[in-house]
Amino acid sequence: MTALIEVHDASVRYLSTGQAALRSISLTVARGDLTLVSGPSGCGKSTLLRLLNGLIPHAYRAEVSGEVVVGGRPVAGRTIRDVSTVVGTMLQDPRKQIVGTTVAAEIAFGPENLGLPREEIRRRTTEVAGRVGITHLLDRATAGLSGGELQMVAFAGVLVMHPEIVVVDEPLANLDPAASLRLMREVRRFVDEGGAAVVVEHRVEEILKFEPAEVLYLEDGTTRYQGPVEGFLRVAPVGHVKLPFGTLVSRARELPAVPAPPRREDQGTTPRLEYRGVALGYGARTVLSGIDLALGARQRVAVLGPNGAGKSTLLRAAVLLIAASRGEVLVDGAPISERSIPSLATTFGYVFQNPGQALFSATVGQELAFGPRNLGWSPREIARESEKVLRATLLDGEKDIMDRPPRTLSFGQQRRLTVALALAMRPRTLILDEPTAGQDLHTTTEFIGHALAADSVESVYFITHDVDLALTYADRIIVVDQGRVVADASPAELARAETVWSGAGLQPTSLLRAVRDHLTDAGSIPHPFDLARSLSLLSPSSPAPQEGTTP
Amino acid sequence: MNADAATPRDPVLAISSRTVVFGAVGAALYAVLGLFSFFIPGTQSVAVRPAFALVPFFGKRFGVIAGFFVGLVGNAIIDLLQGYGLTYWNWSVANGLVGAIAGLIFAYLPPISRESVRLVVTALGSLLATAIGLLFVITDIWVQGNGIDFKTFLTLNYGPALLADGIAVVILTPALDAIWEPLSKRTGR
Amino acid sequence: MDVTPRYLGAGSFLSRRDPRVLLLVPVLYLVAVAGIVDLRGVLVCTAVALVYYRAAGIPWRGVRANWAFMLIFTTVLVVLNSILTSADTRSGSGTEVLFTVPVTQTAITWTTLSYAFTILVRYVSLAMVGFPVAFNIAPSDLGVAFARLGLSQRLAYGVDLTFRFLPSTWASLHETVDAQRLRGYEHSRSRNPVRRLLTMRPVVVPVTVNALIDAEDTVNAMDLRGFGGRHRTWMRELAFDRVDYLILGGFTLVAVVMVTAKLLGLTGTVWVP
Ligand SMILES: Nc1ncnc2c1ncn2[C@@H]1O[C@H](COP(=O)(O)OP(=O)(O)OP(=O)(O)O)[C@@H](O)[C@H]1O
Ligand SMILES: Nc1ncnc2c1ncn2[C@@H]1O[C@H](COP(=O)(O)OP(=O)(O)OP(=O)(O)O)[C@@H](O)[C@H]1O
Ligand SMILES: [Mg+2]
Ligand SMILES: [Mg+2]
Repeated sequence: MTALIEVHDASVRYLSTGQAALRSISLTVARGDLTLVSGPSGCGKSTLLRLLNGLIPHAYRAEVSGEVVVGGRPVAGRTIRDVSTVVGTMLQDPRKQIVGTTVAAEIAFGPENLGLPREEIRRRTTEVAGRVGITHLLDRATAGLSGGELQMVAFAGVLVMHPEIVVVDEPLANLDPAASLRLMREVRRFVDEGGAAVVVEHRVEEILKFEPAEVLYLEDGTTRYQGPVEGFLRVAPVGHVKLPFGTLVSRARELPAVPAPPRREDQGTTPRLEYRGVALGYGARTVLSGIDLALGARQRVAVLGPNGAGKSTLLRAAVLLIAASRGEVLVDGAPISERSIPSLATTFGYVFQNPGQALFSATVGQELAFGPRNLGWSPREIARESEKVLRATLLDGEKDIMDRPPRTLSFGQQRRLTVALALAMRPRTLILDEPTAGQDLHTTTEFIGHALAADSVESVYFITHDVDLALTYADRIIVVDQGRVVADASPAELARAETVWSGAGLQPTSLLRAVRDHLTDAGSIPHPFDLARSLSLLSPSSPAPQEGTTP
Repeated sequence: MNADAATPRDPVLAISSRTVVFGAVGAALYAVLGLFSFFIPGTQSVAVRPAFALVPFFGKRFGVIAGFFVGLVGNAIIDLLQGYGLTYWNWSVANGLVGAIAGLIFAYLPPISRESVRLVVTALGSLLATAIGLLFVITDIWVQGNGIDFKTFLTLNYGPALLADGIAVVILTPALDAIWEPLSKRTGR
Repeated sequence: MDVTPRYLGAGSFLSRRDPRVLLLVPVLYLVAVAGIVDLRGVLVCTAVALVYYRAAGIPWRGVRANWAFMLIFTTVLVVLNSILTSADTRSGSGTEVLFTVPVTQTAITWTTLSYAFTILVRYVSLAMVGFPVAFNIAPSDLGVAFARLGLSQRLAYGVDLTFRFLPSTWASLHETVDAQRLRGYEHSRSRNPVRRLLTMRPVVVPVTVNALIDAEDTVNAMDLRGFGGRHRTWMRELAFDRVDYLILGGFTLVAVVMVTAKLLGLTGTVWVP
């Protein structure tokens, strides 16, 4: 039987920059195959997908050598429309690819473009909606859907065109673990029912559960590893890919040393941020109620919870972007309503989820100066502070960084820049909203490491969907679900609270299971690398790792 | 650099999915940001709508059709949201023409590499497009059946509109364009 | 503030019409009343417009503010216009000067007054046929309506897409304003328009640039789902029924009659009682 996709020795060079993005890649995907593509940011994963669905060379100006055959015919001589009948593509952020105002309109969009009869479109819509479980959403406006719902709708919009293979670019980046699982289950089912899939993802561990037939690991545009999962787990660079904990244990000898993040003890001072019987909501709709929380001035707090639970809402109250409809919010012991937003801005450095949100200046230098200038600082002070924060966020190495237009930095650099912008106002507490979504492990580690180590910062509160990140870096975890705080404990305590992990959009990870099984005290959790090292010493003859298993 | 950076292979009047999406994005931006305006102190009829700067910007960067679409649909939606329906339809058309003319002007200008010159040319070209496009409001005279003569048209309709929109265009369009310049090269289409 | 158009006339007679009717009627009506100077002619048309407006079933409470704004705006326009224009050349009778406006020395006659009133009424009646476009067409019907009126399929879809982008643009504007406020940004209260415009930059620039960068992905997503073919199915089926034809026929008749009257010179002079 012929393969659905065959790539022979393909290389891609973007004409706009003249840089090679892929070099001699070969890939074969047949029916029933689930292929995982991974690799650090900028290694060419998205470029590979564009090659498979015809965007390269038809929509991007790029020079392609080698051969790409889809459904038995070369892509080169066909149109994107033609290729799209074989290859269905789901791009990274569902928000950007949804074009319909209602869910039904969104699903019908593709078939409408194909000019299918209305009856047929209606039939397919019903069938696909039932299949991915979104029938109840059909009449809803797409603007009001949660992240997880949107992703399912986008997937239905692809399936409804009856492709033979789906290619998916970082589908899990903004999803809570439970929603990720639901989506991947649908992808797997599509494959099992005679389709095929290519999935690009940083969250490797979550894909491994679905038994990909092949893993392609790219680095700098070239193939670093291609083959079955077992081999990948043996050679994947630790520290760059998030591997199952069992793999870490068996490869403990290769693990790099990790500097312990500075621990700051909370000496029973007034809490930095306190909620007393607080309710928060938008208009008539209450999102959170009965919140009683005191976040310490020297704590590292992680906030977990499903999409749309109100995590962002909770922390937005700290900077008065939303006012409590009931109860009281206190900052350093005084009611927040007595504070102005600028004065709060020097207490809390708030980093939004989307780095581009605030970047408007022509140069990084001007961008950094904007906040402090609004606070009335002198130019000399601003210059000194700018230099310091650039160093703290490791941006100072970039050539002519002060004169670069901010938006021309890479995505990861832009993220670090937004932290620098917050730090430039010398906040005592840093609030990060999903700082690591869609980033590879190396970037994540660097990023969080720097945020935690910045010297003026006493405490960090961060929102994340990454359970392991929370376990590793927080000394307190808060879980928000269904309008309430459902758990509030140290990572080690929380790891043992079984009920939490079956609800609240969470899924136990291999690290979590290891913590539960091997750490008996309720103290802090060591870095996963350190934990793996100590466990491997305990049982030096641990068997070769299978995917997803814990030792 | 101008329209040819964004639409390298398309003829001036082609409608690709890029035209459609950028037109729609621009119209939505214009409609949302256009809800904000303020009066120039001392006048009670000269309302500056900062978002108007988007119209020549889209014309310049994304072509004649996209520019026309942004002005026409964007303004019509502002009217729709504020509840005038189609009463002032000719203003929407005039807005659209500003975008289209800006698209035409910049499509035939050679690329300029000196940044300062480019900014000045952007401002002047957009202002020119505004001045020509808004002339369409002269159709008010037709609707009114000679009731509004040319002098009234100049002093009541055209003059204030040109003043208000001109200020927005001269200040904000080059600013937007300068920010977009390095980014347009990176989108790499 | 809400950026989704308000669909107020749900269930009314006009809402049950083909949306193309609601788009075509204002055009026909405009042709009918354009250039008519005789108040009686305009009043006749206005009567037709009023019946049409009543059929839209738009609740008064929902549009009170719109009408108030529209009336004030138009009145100011008309008053200023009357002061600046001397209307005495158009009519033989009614030239008796009632009073003169102090500064401009414009003489106000019955002609001027009748004429000013005509303009005002015309604008109001135009609004009457225009409001149903705003309040009686479901936004999701607009694209298909334009497509079936002969607009390019792709541009017609652009109209739909604009409504899809409205709420997300609004949300993004909000987030940007929030983000900038945390950096000490404050909306300028300066009286200098240039300075005020400059202080808009921290909001306008990121909102625009983000929208453009995201749009690149939207373009890809649409290409990948086959957008842009010659033939496109629209899920919403549009068909004129007999009532639709009657309404269109009626307004066409009004337009033809009024244009004929205008050509015959019947409506070209200001009417003075
Ligand atoms: N349109 C483009 N024009 C020019 N260069 C591009 C374009 N898109 C990507 N590149 C470059 O090609 C390389 C590979 O980019 P690509 O987007 O494929 O990476 P990626 O692996 O998907 O990264 P990420 O994980 O950050 O999404 C990068 O160096 C990038 O800067
Ligand atoms: N500006 C707003 N207006 C109205 N409703 C809102 C607004 N912002 C958020 N919501 C709603 O409030 C609820 C909580 O939103 P919030 O952004 O706090 O969730 P979250 O836990 O941060 O989710 P995610 O993980 O997807 O970021 C959601 O149902 C959301 O739709
Ligand atoms: Mg990518
Ligand atoms: Mg959130």
